[in-house]
Amino acid sequence: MENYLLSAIVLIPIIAAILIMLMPEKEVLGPRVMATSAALLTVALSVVAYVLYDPSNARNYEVNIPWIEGLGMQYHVAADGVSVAMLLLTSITIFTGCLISWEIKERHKEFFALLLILVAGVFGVFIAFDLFLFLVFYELAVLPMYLLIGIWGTGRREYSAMKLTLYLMLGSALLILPIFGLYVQAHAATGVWSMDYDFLSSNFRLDEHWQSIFFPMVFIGFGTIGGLWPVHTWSPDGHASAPSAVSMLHAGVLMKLGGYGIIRIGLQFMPDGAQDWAFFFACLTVVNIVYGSLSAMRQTDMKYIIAYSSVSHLGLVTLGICTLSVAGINGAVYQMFAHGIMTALLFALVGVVYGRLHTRDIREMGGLAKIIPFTATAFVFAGMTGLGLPGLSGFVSEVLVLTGAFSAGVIGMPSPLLKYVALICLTGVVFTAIYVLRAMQKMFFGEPTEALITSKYYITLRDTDIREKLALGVLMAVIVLAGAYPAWLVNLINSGLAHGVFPVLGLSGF
Amino acid sequence: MSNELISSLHHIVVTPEFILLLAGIIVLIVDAFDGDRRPWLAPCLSLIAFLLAALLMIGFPESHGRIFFQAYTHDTLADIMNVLFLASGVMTVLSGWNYISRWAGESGTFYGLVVLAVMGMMLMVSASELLTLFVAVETTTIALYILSGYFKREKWSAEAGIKFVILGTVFSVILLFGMVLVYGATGTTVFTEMVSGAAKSPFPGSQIVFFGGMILILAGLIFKITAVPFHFWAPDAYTGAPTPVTAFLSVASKASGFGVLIRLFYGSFNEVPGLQSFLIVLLVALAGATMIVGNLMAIPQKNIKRLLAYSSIAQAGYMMIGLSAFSEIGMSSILFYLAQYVFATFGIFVVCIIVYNHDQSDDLTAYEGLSKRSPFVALVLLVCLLSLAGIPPLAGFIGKVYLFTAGLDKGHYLLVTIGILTSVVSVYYYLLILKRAYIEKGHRQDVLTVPHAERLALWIAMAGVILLGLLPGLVVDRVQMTGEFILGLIK
Repeated sequence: MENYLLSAIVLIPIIAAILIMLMPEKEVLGPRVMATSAALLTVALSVVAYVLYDPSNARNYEVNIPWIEGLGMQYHVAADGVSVAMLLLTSITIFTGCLISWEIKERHKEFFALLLILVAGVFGVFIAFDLFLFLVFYELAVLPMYLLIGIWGTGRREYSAMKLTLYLMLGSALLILPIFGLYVQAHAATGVWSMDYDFLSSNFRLDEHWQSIFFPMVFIGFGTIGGLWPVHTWSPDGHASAPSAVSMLHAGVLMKLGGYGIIRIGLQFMPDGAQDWAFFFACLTVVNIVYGSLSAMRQTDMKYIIAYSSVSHLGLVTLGICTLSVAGINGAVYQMFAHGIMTALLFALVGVVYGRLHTRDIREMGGLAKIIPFTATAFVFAGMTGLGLPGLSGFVSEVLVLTGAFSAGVIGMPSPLLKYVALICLTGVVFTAIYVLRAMQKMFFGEPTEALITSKYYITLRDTDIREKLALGVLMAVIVLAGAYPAWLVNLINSGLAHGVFPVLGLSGF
Repeated sequence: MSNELISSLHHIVVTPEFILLLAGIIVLIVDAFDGDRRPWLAPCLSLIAFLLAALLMIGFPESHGRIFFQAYTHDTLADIMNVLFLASGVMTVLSGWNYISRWAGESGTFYGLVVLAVMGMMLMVSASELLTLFVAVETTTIALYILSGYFKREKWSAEAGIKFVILGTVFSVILLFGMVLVYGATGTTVFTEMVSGAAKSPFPGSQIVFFGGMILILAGLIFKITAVPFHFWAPDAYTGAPTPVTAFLSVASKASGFGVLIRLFYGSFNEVPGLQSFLIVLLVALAGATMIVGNLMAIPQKNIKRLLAYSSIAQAGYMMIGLSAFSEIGMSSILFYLAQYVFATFGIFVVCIIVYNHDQSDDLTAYEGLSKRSPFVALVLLVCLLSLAGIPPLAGFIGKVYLFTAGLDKGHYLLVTIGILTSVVSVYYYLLILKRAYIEKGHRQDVLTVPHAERLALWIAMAGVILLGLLPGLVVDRVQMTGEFILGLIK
């Protein structure tokens, strides 16, 4: 029974999507309730998956059924600590995302159905232990984004949607060659056609030459979705044009597929390639962190600020991976979780403010804290998480990743120069403080601007209702839970990595 | 002699072909006498013939064998190909049901010709001797000539027909010339004996003549599968032909070309190192060029049939990755790709037919707001286009990675890279169509009505694409058997 837990988490959103599509066109409440309750169900199941998780077991809730026997592909799903953490992140994000997008009116049936299909793909990626199944879920998660932004987006939505889709498709195209190269070479070596993750990792090792060809492809391929500079340019446009729930899911969860894939596939199958390339990519992530935060300082559109801050914060994920150290990789996964929840909260808040004021320009706001205090509090809370206030989740990941970077070289990996890279990254923390405080100050404090007072939406401005408070409250609670007592999450992640990439890299967990 | 002839006449082997021949003639006769009063008779008869032939083939799997003095082979390759041809025959009839009678007036001849063309294609993939092959190719092509120019009063259709006839004839002559050279060099017309025939030949230089002849035959077949450099006829012919015929051309005609290529090249040169490595280089180069040309030329197109013509050129390029691998997995991957290609392509073309029946337009602008006018039609378009683009969990994704695996298995890393990158290009122009259907708001708001025949075709197409995507094992197991069998024939 327990073993069907993961399949249920993937199937529930798909079934809900089909049911929503079958509802009559006039039905207004049905799709919302259906989507939200399906999402709530996945939250419950993810919590169950966390509670029943056995850290000593490398593959919890494993199901392995042959799928395409002739080609050695199977429906192999399981969960380790990293998967469980990501399942929690995804389900919480989709649940709060559904709550926030309650008010979508135009073509709402299709909206919720696509959102659920997308999230089914994301769930699938996190539990797939067959490389082919992984790819199937991965692309399933990418494509609905085109329609979600194209139909329900704002601004230059068609341009952004196309740019995003093409970038992500190009990214996933880069993955096909390494994954199938691995598949074909494993067949040549073992005589067995198999895409099974565990079969490949235990019975075959790519030779070093191929590893150092494939690793950068995997890194850039996943880096594209993970916001790696310079292939991140789709992300600010995409986030700015997307509706709130889509931005939440996208920045909160979808971009985490990048870091997850690099760890799951890149480090696992190309550890030697990783050693060769780690320093190079660490240098790129510096650009991510510093350039991302500098760009965020220059923006006036709230969504662009958060989008660039995501680019900056996600640099911490890739930097953590590039340290190839226990603390660094743990920190990277922790940051994936922490940033996911934080950015979901921020985009939800932007949605709340934009839905009321119909502007996202921070120069046209001011003094909002008096009128919408709950929103302002939540915003400040999220901002503090972003700039790494101790006690909140952002702090933990920064500490972990930077510890990893400084410890690199000490244990011989990958380069002593990484310390200096990490030092430059620290400046990013300062810039983050600047743009976060600047945005807060302009939006919520001081006196209302002329533009705001003359806006026709100003008079009817009211604070969040109970539904929005629930969504924001859940996200804030998770941030506190992960920040004030990080041990539960770090232990969870560490137990997964200790069975997975740490042995491959010659490390032992905490 | 006569005893041998009779004993080799396992009539059951060719029964499906016979049924189609009879049905084709009956349809033509019935239509001539009764077509005006009972216009539904011709399509119904042809559907029955297709289904009967398919039932016979599935019902008598033991009917495999080589008959008529090695001239005709019935094996699993023929089985799978024949099912594909029959399926595309059924889809052509369904998609033409309203379109042909509405825009061409009399329609019975259409169905008769489709039945005969399907029969010709079945002969093509089973032919294992040059003369039989040529007769089969001509039978098919002549039916296709007439079908492409079926709207004889319309200038554009006539133009398509004439272009196709002139170029088709030229390439038939090239094919024939190649066959003559091969016969001269090897002294035999039977595929499996040609290699040893060339080796045994007492004349100096016969190996070279044999090579030359094979290259000419290859040219003739490349014309059929619309690969570079003989792809240029396709956009004009595809755009001008009646839409059901366009679909039939881009699926069945292409599949028949691949069937012959597999039987001829896999079945006869597996052990000639010189020729095989030369062919591999040639096919790899052509495959790469075909994918690039097809995908890039599709981008600026404004007419959906022309766009799909270029996209079908690109699809041929993907399948040539499998062809150039010269391996079991290469062959099975082509067969799998063709199987899913039937559904995806017909799905899209049936949507084109429905839109044309309403708006009399094949322009991309006619697709604006399609998801409002008919969510179901738009959904089929979405599923089929995404499958062609290679998006999972649809069948096209598995088809493509299967082909890529075959290429990588032989170390064709560059070719597969081209394939992967051009797939991304294809996502772009397929999304341009979907953008019109889903995102843009069109001028026309009227609801699209979908008649029963088209609705059935749409359901078949969508079910096929999704089913083969989720359970590809259904077909993969079969095509893998074929790969082992065909190559086993030589070893």
